[in-house]
Parts: sequence; structure tokens; C-alpha cells
Amino acid sequence: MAAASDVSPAEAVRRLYVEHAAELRLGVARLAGKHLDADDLLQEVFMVALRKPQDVLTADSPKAWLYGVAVKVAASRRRTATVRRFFGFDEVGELADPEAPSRTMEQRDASKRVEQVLAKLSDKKREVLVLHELQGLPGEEIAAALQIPLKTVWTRLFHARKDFAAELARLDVIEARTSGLPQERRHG
Amino acid sequence: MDELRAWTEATDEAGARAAKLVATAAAIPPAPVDLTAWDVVVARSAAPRHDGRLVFAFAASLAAGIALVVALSPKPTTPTAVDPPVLVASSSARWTQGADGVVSLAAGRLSVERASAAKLTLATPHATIEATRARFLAEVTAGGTTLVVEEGEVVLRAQGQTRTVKAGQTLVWPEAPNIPAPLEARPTAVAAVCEGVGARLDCLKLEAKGDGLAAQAALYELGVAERESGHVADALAAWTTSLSRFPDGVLHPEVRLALLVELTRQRRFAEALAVARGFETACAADPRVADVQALRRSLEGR
Repeated sequence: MAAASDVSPAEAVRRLYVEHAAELRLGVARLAGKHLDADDLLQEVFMVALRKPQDVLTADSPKAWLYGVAVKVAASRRRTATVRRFFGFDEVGELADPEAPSRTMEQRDASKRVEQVLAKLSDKKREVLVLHELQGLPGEEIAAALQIPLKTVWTRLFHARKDFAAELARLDVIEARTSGLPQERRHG
Repeated sequence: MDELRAWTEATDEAGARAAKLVATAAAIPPAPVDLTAWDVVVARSAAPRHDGRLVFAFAASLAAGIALVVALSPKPTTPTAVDPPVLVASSSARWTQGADGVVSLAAGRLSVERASAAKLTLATPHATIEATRARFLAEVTAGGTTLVVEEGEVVLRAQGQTRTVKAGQTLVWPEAPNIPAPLEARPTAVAAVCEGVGARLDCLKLEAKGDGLAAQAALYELGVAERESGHVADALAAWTTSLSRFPDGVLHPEVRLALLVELTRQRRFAEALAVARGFETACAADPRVADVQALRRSLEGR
């Protein structure tokens, strides 16, 4: 636990920010989709923490608590983004990439592909898959973050993996059918 | 379900490929965060953020929705004007119409010449008449309200009672009281006057001008004869004259009863009531006084 008894709650939250901000920004970006401003989402997560310092500082796992807020912020922002796009307010500007620039080409392609597949999953399945497989949270912390039983975490993860694999295979098939084939036919 | 095995241990091809892809993406380290952004978080948390454009968009869409609903909702149909009933009053009728549309008929005759879908309420001193799509005639006299329905149905309400009068029917309200049979019985003790005379009425009139018992008998018989001839007014006049000339005559109980019965039949209840009270006073020992009292009580309720 980052908070110390001799520091103010705000300072304790700031230390959590220093400790988890980078990881949380990547996590919330994966949850919400990289078309949304990850920095803005991260700030919202810690704004909540600043408004409820006692909640986060007394939680068994402040990191799980922050991830729980991140999940809610991401879900809310995804819905809001839909409304904003409907009214033409979706601002696609220069967004900071939450992933390290040192990633390899293979990692970058994999990240893009994962994001495509995650977008097809339901919110509940996407959440457990991102938190466990991508962010590396243990099942207990995911259960705390989502406020669900541990068994439910494993059940959702089981089905999320299954759906993810199926969706990935489906996308592969679609790409195989569309990549290059039409051109070959035209020239043939 | 217990904890799942690591995804990378998946044996099926699709699962293994998915697990490898996700593991590759998961291995990407996060980009470093500008820690000075913490000040921005502190500043933003001090004031809740509202996107004015979204609020405006919501308000605009709400207004547009309301406008759409209003535009597409069926317009309330303007009620078709209903032709009011056409009322025709006799020249002697006294009637008024209130702001609530209720027609009050105090006396005389009023008829509805054209049936209307509009409800007509007619109030008389004796009853309230309600009609829709009906033609009828109402006449108010001292004795009551007469209702003659020509078309449709008319409802008459009075004294907590309701009567429905259909086309072709006539109702007089208040209904005439039942006249006890002993009061209608013709007395046998009256001496025969002018029996067997061809011009009996003239004979009786001549005899009536006389005096004594013969004149009393002639006046009584004259009234009976006039009534039987349909001349009710002349009959009543003969009996009234008899009472006036011979208030304590031998036949005054018979004359009083004849007057009482005929006035009741003619629905001249107030006059009949006065005659009944006179009989009870003047003929207290008469065996028919109980019947007169019963009739008087009936008359008092009208």
C-alpha cells in the first residue's frame, strides 16, 4: 500500500499515480479503445481517486481499486463517444500512444490486431481478458476491481478466450479472402 | 470454475494463435507518463467538467423530439357542431333559458319541433325533463306537467322517481291520486228531479232557480248532468252555486264530494284540497270523512 500514515491523502494518491499511471493508462486505453484519449481517461481515473481518497487508500489493493474505476470510466467513455460521434463532436486529434515507442514491429501489429478483436467482444468479456491477459492482474484483483466473485472471473475469462480465438480466426479468414485475390482475378 | 491454465498452454490451433498474439501485445511495455500532468488532475478534480456542447446537443435533440411528437400526434378533432333543438313556445308560455342551457318552463306550452343530438333539459315546477334526439310537447298548468312524446324517448325525474316516456305516450305529473270508491258512488237519496222530461237540462236549470229542497236537488242533478255531458265547467259551476246558496243544505255533503272528485279528476289539486278540508270541517260526522282525509293527504303531497 502506497499511502503512509504521515502523508496527506492527496499526496498518497499522487504516489499511487506515480506508481501506476503508466500501466493504468495503457490498460484504460485497451479497455476503451485507442481512438480515445488515454491521458484524459487516466486523469479521470485519478480525479475519482482524489475525490474519494479514503476509498482507494483503505482498499485491500489500491491498484485493483484503480482498475475498477478505470473499467467504469472506459465503459462510460465508450458510450459517450458513440453519442459524440452521432452529433459530430468526435475529435480525432494527435493522441499520445500509451504503448512504449520501443516496441517491435511484431508487437505493434499484434497490438493492432488485438484491439480489432477486442472491439468485437462484449464489455464483460473484454474487461476480464484485458485485465488478466494484457495487464497481468491476478484473478483475485480482477474480482475486487469488478466486484464479482472469483469464479465468475474465470468463467468470463474462459468464454472471453474462446470468443477472442473465434473472432481472430474469423478476421483471418476475411483477410485471406480479400487480400490480393480480387487483383489477381482482374489481372488474370 | 477453478483458475484457468495459462492461455499459452492452449492445445487447439486457434487458441494457441490467439494466446500467442495476446502475449505478444501484452509484452509491450507502457509508455512513460509525464508526471507533471498530476497538477492537471488536481486542477480538474477541483471542478467537475461539463461539456456544454453535449448539454446543448441533448437539449436540442430533446426539443426536436418534442416538436416531432407534437407534429406527428393526431390533432384533436374539432367537435362537430351539433344543431340545437328547435323549441316553440305558446304565446302564454313563461319560460327562460339559463347559462347552463337548462330551459325553465313556469307555465304554458313548449314543444320541441326538431330532434337534436344535443341534450335538452327542461325544468318545470313539478319535474325535470331530459331528452336527446326526441320531439315532445310539455305543458305546465297549476295541476302539473303534461308530457306528450312524439319521437324518441324522454326521461322525467321528480321526487326521486324516474319515468321514461316513449314515442306516442303521454304522462301527466304529478300523477292523479286514487279516488276512494265511496266518494265516487252516486247518492241514492237524492230526490229525482225532472225525470222523464225531454229537455231535462232546461228543466233542471228552471228548478234550480227555485228554493228549498227542490232547488238543492236540481242544482246537484244539474251538475251531474252537465258532467255526464262533458260540460265540466258547467257542472262545477252548478255545484259551486249550490254550496254558495245552500252551504248547510240537505245535500251539501253530496255536493262537496262531487266537487272534490271532479276537481281532483281535473287536476285542480289546490281547489280540491280546499274542498276536502271544508268537508272535514262541515261533515265531521259523515261516514265518508275517513276517505276524504285519505284523499286530502294524497293531494297535500302534490
